[in-house]
Amino acid sequence: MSAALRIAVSEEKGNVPVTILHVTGDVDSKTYMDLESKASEVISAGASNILLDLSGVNYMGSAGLRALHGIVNKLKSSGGGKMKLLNPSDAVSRVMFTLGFDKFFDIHKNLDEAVKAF
Amino acid sequence: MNNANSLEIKADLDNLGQVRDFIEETSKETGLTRECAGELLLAVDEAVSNIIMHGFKSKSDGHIEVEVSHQPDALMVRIRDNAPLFDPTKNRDPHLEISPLERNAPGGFGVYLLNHLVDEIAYRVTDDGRNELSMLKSCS
Repeated sequence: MSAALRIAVSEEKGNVPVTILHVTGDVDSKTYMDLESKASEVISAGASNILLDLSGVNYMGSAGLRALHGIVNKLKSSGGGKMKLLNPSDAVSRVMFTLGFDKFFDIHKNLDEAVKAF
Repeated sequence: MNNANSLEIKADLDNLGQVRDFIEETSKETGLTRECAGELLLAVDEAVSNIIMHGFKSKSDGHIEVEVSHQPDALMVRIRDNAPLFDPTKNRDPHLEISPLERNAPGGFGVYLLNHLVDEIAYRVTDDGRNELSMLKSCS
């Protein structure tokens, strides 16, 4: 069943500080801007290493990929930074694989490994 | 079995969740596999999103009807709307070989998804002058 988009933020310290956005619910043509805005907010506050935890995403359409693209662009325009993905759910994998986006993202299955990869 | 269920919504992005719930419930009733149902859900959401954003230009005075008919090992979804006439099956595929991270603004993916996630797709204008997009998803 459809579920409201929620984004929680946490921090981890690996080789560098990593900001994790835990995304749950539906990322569709209506809500994708909320994801982009939240990422923009943490980037403006100084975050440059963003890990998107997508394990709790119930639905993602192509608009969700537009949000990921927007976050990468925001990092670039803010002086550089990295975005990695953690545990994409089946719904995220479906749209990413169908469109071939999986090749262009650094995707991890384990939190510690993902944090250390920055 | 050839039962049809239908849902009518106002053309507003706030109603996308309602459309997805409708497709999800209907898919469960017909016993589609999880993967197959997920692909159909994605295709229908993309089609309806495109109608709302591009057909009605996000004005919510339009109406969209989603009708699902059960067929043996398959579901037929017909989406009708009264936006200006437009055949989405004729849109070109996006250039997927270019990294999405290098593009200025990724787009055109909705139509690509429609064409790749369902087994048959067709467009026609109904007798009362509406767009009708038909998508057949078979899962055997």
